[in-house]
Amino acid sequence: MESIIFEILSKGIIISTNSSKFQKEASWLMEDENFESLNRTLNKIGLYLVGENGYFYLSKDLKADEEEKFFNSHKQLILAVAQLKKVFVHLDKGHKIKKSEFIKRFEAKKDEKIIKALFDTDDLLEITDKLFNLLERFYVIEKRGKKDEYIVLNSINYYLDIVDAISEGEVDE
Amino acid sequence: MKHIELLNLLCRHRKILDSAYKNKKLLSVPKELIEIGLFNKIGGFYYLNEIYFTFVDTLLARADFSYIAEDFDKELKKLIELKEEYKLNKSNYLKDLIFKLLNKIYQGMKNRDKRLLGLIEKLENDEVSELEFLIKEAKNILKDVEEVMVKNEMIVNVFEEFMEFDDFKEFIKDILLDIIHLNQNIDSYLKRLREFISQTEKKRYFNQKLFKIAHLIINEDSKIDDFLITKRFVIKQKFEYVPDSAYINYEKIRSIVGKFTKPKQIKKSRVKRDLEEVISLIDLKGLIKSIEGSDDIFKSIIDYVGKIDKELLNESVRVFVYILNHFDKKLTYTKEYNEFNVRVVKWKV
Repeated sequence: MESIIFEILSKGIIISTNSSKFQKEASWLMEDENFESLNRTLNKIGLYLVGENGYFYLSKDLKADEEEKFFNSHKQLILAVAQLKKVFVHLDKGHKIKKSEFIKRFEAKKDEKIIKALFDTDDLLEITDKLFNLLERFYVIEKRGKKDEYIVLNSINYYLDIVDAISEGEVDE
Repeated sequence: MKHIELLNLLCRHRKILDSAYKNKKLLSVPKELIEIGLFNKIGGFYYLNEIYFTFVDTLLARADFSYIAEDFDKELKKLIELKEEYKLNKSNYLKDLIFKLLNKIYQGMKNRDKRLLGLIEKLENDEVSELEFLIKEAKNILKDVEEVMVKNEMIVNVFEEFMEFDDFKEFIKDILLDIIHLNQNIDSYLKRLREFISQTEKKRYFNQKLFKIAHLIINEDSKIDDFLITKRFVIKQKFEYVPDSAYINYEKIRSIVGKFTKPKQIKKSRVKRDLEEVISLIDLKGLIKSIEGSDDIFKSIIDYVGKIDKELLNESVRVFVYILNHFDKKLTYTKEYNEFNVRVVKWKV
């Protein structure tokens, strides 16, 4: 199991404890003994296994030339989450959301600038698909049972915590 | 029309009533329902009489945001007047009138309690309305409930004054405990509302911050890059990609690092389960069934949770607090403590 989990985490994937796809891996990581054993091994090669409120990921100290790539992908995700939260103001981990509901509410809640920065299309269905695909690809949401339904994974808090950590002084004029 | 005939009529048209209750207005309704005044026609549509909504919503413990909690101010004034009169003239007529008023206020308080609870639950479960709207509504309700709290204390005082009359003594004794309990409920509603407002304001503040930061990112504001790159955020950066081919083969890494390096003391990092996750794991319905009638809810929770999964026993206290928060009305708090040093809370019979 250790090597399977390493394979997953080393791709930058965040394993959420409320994910169906990584249910076995999350349960394994929730065992203190397993977590510590894997973390001990990873520490030796300069990696850290981090377990926060309901999700796990690998972290490391970045070299200067790695930072830009790293932060750019985060920026994209923060924008996508911001647009999703404009539509679903209560959005939180564990919530269930529907594509059809997003489409229904989108026009009234569309953030032109965010959409323009993320996607090169004005087509509502295409925007919806691309936004949901992006969030699914980064394991922020996961398809559940019904065709149209997605669950918000705990990992959303990884991105929201970044926003939370930015102090008001830093964003205010 | 007799009462039984009215019930039959309602039963016969239950589907129409259900539809009108859900959809608020209908294009057409049977004549007989209009004749008894159950529907009123306004601007081409038929609307259910408000009395029906009040009746049904009270029984179903529901309320929408148009609900305004009654304070029984007029009834209380009348009751005080009657009391003074009764001191001078203990007529049966006055006695009946006082009983009716006492009953009206008492039952009204019970009904109001149900609807207030329904209203607060509606607020807490609302995942669609704008945050601004919910905060405004919650603040209005809070103001109402605060006033109700003050009036309730007055009601208790006036009711207690009736203890001096033998005719009312037993009746007041019977209902007073319940009224005090209703006051405790109001107190818990105040706490829930304040908590809801504070949480929703936090949510609103956070959303505003998120949108602001999203726009700084779009405008390529250097402040964000400075923050992200030089100042770092407090959480550690996620490992994004495999930087070295040596990392790909985990087994190889383990064999190498296992041989040549000593184990280092690591900082313990734990993942605490979400309460919602715990609740879904333990099967809430099953739990409620097992604690109904319990003489010590905490001990019953331990018994139940232990049967489901021993590892979840650590979560018993959180589950206990969850039950206290959500089933407050069904619980009795004793002054005793059990062997776990936890207050003995019983399920009401």
